[in-house]
Amino acid sequence: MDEQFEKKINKDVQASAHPITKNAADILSAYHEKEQKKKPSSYKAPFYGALGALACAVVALAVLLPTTIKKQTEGTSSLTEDYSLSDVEVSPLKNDQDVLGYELTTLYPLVKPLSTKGRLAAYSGAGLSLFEEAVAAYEPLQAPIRSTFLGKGEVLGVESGGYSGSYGTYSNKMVLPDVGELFFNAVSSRGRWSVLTGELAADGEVRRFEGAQRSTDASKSIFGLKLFGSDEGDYSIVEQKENQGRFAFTFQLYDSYQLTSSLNLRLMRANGKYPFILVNAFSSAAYETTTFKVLAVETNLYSLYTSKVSKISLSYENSQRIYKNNGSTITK
Amino acid sequence: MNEEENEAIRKASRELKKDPDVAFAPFYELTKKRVYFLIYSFTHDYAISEDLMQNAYVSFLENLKKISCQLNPLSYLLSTARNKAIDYLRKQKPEYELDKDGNSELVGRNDPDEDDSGPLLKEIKGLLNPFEFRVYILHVLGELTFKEISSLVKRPVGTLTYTYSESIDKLQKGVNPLWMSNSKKR
Repeated sequence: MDEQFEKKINKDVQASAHPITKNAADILSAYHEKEQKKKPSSYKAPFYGALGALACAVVALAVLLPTTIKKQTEGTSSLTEDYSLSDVEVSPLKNDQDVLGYELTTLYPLVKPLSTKGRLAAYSGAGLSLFEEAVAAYEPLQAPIRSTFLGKGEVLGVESGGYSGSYGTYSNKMVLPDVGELFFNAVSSRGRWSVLTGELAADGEVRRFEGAQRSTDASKSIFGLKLFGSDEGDYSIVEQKENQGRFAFTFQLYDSYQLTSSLNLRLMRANGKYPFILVNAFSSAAYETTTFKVLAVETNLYSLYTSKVSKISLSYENSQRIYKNNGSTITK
Repeated sequence: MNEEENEAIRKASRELKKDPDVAFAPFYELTKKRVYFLIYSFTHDYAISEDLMQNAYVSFLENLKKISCQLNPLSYLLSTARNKAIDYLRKQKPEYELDKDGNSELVGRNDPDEDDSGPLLKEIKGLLNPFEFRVYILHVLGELTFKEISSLVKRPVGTLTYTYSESIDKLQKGVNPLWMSNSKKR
């Protein structure tokens, strides 16, 4: 590279660049204009409106609540009428009983909304039916969830993960958008995760990482992989947790110190087997955390439960994914 | 950007939180070039870049309470600007899935119909591919360091320095020698 040429052309380009005509006062007045629009003209109308709505809600509850309670005592829950957890024989982890322990009564709340903003966003998503919304939210997650069920040897698209060996070695490969391909490997020894190593490949460059113990509590073993220094503004953390009988994998991506997306998979155990997964996925774009409970009925048949839709059946047939709910079908 | 400038921006943002009306002008002067040419590297249109720059600053002011001045307010501002530019292009040509799975180079194909850039920039744009043009503009006009560009375009610094050096080589071979002689007369 000719340095003299570089200096000269850069100088010419700078000279020929368009000057910035917008001044600070223009921007400040645009900001104040927007702020003015946000302020309500009077507090009276919304206040009395809200008071009226509250009164209506109290009356409606007084009428509907006794009816609903009566109905619930007559019926059975959707969990018990469709399947028995002990019948499910799909997970490769069913032999690793000593590694993880789990009690059914400590089930993570299945439909817990994680933020008020998330709930607002869910209700404001007009245009799509609740079923369509739930399918759209589940689609990006289906590959890692299914590969977690199927275990080692199954590679779906860009992501794969699974266990092998009697000591519970967990390996996972995934593509992080805009970052690269991440592979990591964790080994459990005597019921605790003991080793975590990883590699990130991007544009032909491979960076290797070693996990560091993050918890001071000896009863837990939590490891984290730090991929980028915080001084660069962007960093990712991968954690492996084995805590109170629950295996969890968490991935979080930050941009400019703000959480932009996260994925949390919990492989749950019942009767010595691992038939279902709880997943929480947060997206800053929709400002929403979506929670799913996924039950593997067979290798190619899954039941999904969310807060929005009662039950969705998902089957994998001829490289297609068929979602069904109350007679409606969506094929992907 | 050196540590002195960084500290000046942090100081300006602290002042901005106290009184936006008084402190916005100095903060704007410190940062406008980077924001403007970042957006220009996507839109290739000066007028649109100014409008989007205004939107980015307004968003920044709206979110001022959430931003920590101890960290890097400029990084937040640049991310906002980048998102505004991508949103604009997405609305213009919705058929492209922008900035996802490494497709960010596609942005450069969505040139607006009217190109009001100077003749030299127009010639440079013709010689470089969209990604090279973006790196070149951000480094030369936006005066961003390769480390800063790296966090914006999500590419390693090594890739960017290589791309930049390739761009200069291409320009040396391709730019009309008349430009260089004109610059001597100036």
